[in-house]
Amino acid sequence: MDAGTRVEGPPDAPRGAGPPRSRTDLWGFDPAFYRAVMPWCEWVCERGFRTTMTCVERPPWRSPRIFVANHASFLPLDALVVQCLLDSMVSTPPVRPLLEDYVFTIPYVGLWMSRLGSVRACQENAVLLLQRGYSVLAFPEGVKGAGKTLFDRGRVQRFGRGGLVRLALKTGVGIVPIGVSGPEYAYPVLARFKRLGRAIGLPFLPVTPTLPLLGPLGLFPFPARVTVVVGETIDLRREAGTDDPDEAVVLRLNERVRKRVADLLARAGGRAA
Amino acid sequence: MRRTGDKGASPAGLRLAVTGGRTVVGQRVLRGLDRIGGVERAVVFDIQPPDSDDPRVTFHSLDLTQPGIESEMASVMQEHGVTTLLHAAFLWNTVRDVEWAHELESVGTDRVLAAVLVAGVRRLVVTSSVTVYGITHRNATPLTEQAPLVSARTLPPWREKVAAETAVARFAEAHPEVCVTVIRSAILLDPEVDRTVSRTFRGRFIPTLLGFDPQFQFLHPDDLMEVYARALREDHPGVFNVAPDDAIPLSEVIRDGRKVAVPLPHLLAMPGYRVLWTAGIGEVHPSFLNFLRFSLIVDAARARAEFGFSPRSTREAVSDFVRATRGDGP
Repeated sequence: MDAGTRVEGPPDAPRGAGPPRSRTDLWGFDPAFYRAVMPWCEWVCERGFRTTMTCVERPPWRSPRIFVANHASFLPLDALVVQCLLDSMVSTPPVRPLLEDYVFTIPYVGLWMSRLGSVRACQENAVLLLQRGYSVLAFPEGVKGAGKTLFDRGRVQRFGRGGLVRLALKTGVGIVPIGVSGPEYAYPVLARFKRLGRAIGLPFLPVTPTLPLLGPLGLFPFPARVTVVVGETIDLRREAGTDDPDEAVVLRLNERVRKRVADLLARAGGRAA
Repeated sequence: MRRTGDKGASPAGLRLAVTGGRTVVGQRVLRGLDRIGGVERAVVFDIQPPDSDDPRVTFHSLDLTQPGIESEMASVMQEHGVTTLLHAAFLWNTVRDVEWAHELESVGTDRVLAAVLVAGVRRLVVTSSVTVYGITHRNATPLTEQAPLVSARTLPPWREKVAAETAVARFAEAHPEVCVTVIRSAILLDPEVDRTVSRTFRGRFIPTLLGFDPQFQFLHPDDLMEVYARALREDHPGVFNVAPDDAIPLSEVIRDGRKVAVPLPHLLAMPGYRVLWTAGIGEVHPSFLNFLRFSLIVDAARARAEFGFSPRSTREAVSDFVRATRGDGP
């Protein structure tokens, strides 16, 4: 093959009849796999988790959004359920969950979540996805939220250091708060062991009635009832009055978004009871 | 960003010097002198003569790990009127002798930089690789040139390369009169190269980690040559990621190459490789196993704009490699 003639062309000239492009994007998202799996996810949500969803604002959302939800599960079950429910309600490309680092160190879980569109939560990834027209689904509680035991289920943890607010102000994308209740009963975490978890590369080792006891079988979720309440879009740029805020404004807005998620979670929890 | 005229290309022809004439990049460049165009002479500094019978190539035996070689190197370069230096003397495999790696890569680079100053070389091209970013699940996707180089922590044997790059960056800032280009190329799939990655993918059995399927960007050897040819011919100051703009999962590489995956559980494989390495049997440092777990994806937009060409896709690199190693291709 002669490369000398090939490289003389314009930088982005189409490459002619080459082998087909990859079926995955840079993050490992596989759209064909996503389309094949989503109907099954919907079936599981409907029949397994008897999901109910309430929307304050009328979907569909025609432009990208930053969906912000509370964590309700140590495995990304909450992300999967919300992603699946939002699937039919956005007319943009699929919603891409932003997940904690540790998810991608778990075999199979990290792989399948990547294939279904999840990426590691960081500013660079989120900005690039929003620019490419995807909506993102963030869980700003982070590991603190994912590591909640059943006894802390109603409490929304702190929302990181405000990266979410910075993202929204930088990109001008609206935030849609979401309250998720129920997945915590699918994996009822009774206790967690931090040191034992670190030994196998996880932030903590959760204990559920079945989990270490039945081995991998313990990963099968309980058929909990899941309730999702979706709030209305917050235009942070308008609320802040600026797109270059100081630290105090960021934390104030951050807390405001957290309050709205907590309110929605209270509504969702009220219905599930 | 285009520079006016090509102030670097002297009418008398390009007088080139190369450190590490037997490394992957050094060897390719010495064989592809015609691709660069207008090369009048190529002086090679190495501890063993290069594998080349080109009349333009002059070999000069020099050990970068020895103190005081910079004045010898500078006087040889002055004698031959060298204007452009390719610093390619970096290790492509992990070595157990960390002190030697330190002397060669980190301290050796300091000596090369000193020789560049003394000899008045005006263009310096430094070989690097995207692996200096390190391999961790915390990497952004894609990584730009501004990303921190964490390989000192995640790939311990690569510590010296990061030290060398840091020294080169400091040098470039302090001496704007020298045009310094650093090329961080993506992982190379080259049928002619006998290094860990290419050797592994040439074999029938590919080790994988159970439940992981990372994305890979593979660079075609021809594109590697092309980017070095352009960097040596024209002024392109800066640090550049050179990689295709797509990435494919390891499983697809295995399927397309009709290889057999040998999946290992990572909780056993990591300690296992560590034992092999410590015992002196394993040829790869255990930290490199993380390439089978996490993805290292870089953004090469800057190089595309600067060099004016885009490398072949990862798919093409893989299919060319598969065709060449199967023995039924051109």
